[in-house]
Amino acid sequence: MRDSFEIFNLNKDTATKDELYTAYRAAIADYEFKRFEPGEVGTEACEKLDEFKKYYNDCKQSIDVREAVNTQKATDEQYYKSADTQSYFTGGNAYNRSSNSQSSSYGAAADFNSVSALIKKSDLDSAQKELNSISGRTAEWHYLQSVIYYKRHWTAESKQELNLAVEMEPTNPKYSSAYRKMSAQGAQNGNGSYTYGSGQQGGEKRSYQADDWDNYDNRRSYRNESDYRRGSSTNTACNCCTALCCADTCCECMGGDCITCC
Amino acid sequence: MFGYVNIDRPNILFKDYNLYKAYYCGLCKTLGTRYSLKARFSVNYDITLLTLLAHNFQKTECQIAHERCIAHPVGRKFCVVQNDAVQEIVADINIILGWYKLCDNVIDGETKYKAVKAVFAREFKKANARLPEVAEAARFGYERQCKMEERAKSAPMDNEAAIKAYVLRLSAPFSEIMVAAGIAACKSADDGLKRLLHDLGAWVYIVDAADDLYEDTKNKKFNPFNREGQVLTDGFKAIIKNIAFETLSLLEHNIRCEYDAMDITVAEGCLSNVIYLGLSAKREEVLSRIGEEKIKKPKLR
Repeated sequence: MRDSFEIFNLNKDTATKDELYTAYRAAIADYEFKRFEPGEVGTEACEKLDEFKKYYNDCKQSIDVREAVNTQKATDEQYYKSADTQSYFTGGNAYNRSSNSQSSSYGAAADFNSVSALIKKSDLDSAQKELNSISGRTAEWHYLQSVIYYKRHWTAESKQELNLAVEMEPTNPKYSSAYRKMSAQGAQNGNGSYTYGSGQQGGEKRSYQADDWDNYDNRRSYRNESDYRRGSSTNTACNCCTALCCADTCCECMGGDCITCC
Repeated sequence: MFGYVNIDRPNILFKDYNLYKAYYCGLCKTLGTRYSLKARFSVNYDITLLTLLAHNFQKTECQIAHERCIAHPVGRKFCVVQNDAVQEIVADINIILGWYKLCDNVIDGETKYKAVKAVFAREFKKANARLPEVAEAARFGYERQCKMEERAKSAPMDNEAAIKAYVLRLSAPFSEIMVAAGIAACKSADDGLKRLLHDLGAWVYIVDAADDLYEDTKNKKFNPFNREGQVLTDGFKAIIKNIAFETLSLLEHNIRCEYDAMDITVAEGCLSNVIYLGLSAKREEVLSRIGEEKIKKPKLR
């Protein structure tokens, strides 16, 4: 990430998103036109564009993290200030996020334990709800959020949250080792860290990737019986919808129209 | 031995199937080299599961080579797990357990197995010398089971709960045998493994009882689900099916929980398939034809 900032000639700690954007546009201005040239020139230009895009995304992410950390620090400061002045019962300006802000910081440790227990049970919706109710966005909070995203196979979001956790507490071994494992897995996947598409990744469910981030994630092969021992699939929604589309197409061929809007 | 603990063949990935067969073939070869040619006939899939678990606990990755199969003399070579210390122990356990099963059959009155016993006497003597504690546990277990079955012949079959309770009690000696085998095979057997094997033993006993219900009623042999003079009516079959289903599901659930807590690094796919899918598949198959005659179906590819 340091290299990315150097390429755009920006300062890592003070660059804003606008500055980054102008620097990025300036850097790729030349290559954007060369892109459509045939032969070597064109391919080289495309490669350069991809490279710059990667650096840009890196920097943007880093700035996001820095801003998130700063806002978190600011809100925490506000919270503790208001706690000193005994005005937190009135809600305070910084703590309009959730309704049970009063109990959040005192019950924080207990809440994290309950969230991780729910995650272990694979009850992700309740875990997410519980996590949302905790208003103190500490490193542990981001770590647990990244675990929930990871279990939902949203690797990009999971990595983002893990980044935040690592940035907040760089000395914590749990977060940094999880981060290392995650980036190693990302490299294995072969598409870098930019899987900007949430949702399940195809064949991952059925094949087991040796991954020992297994404190929270016990992904074993054949774990979900329903994936394998399916009964007759003639009544799924997909079959019904497909059948209707086919019927509509045939109808339109004959001159009628079953589904008028398509 | 019994052949109930197996993979779910329609729902296994080929890489896992290949590895599973490799372990099975490895055992066959080990039995051949360690004992004799005829000992190879005793290889079965139940003991393959034990090999897989044992390799896990000793954390030994196997070496695989391509070798010929004596049962398939022409054609390609197959993947076979090379011999190692773990496999040798499991081979010994296999001989011992097979021997005591033969003894049990002879006591039950099937005299044809006396000849088989005579054939395997020398192998058993060797195995007995190598693993005396397993032999003793097996002998004691089968003896206890015999006595319990004698007493259970007169037990009342009033309500479902009572039947479930004593069926589980009857399976206890067999579970103990399984646990003893597991402790011998896996060097650092912990409580989780013992519980898993205990429940697996109970599962095998009950599935075997459900499977043999028809034959035992016909031949007037003891079956935990049946009594002297009981006729296999449809209503009775439905009740037994329900009892068996509940007990087996509970045992499967326990096994699954124990397995989840284990640290599996070697042959994870095969083990997971057996435990998550294989047991349920076998249970469903057996319960669908409970109380009916066994028809030999052609095996899937």
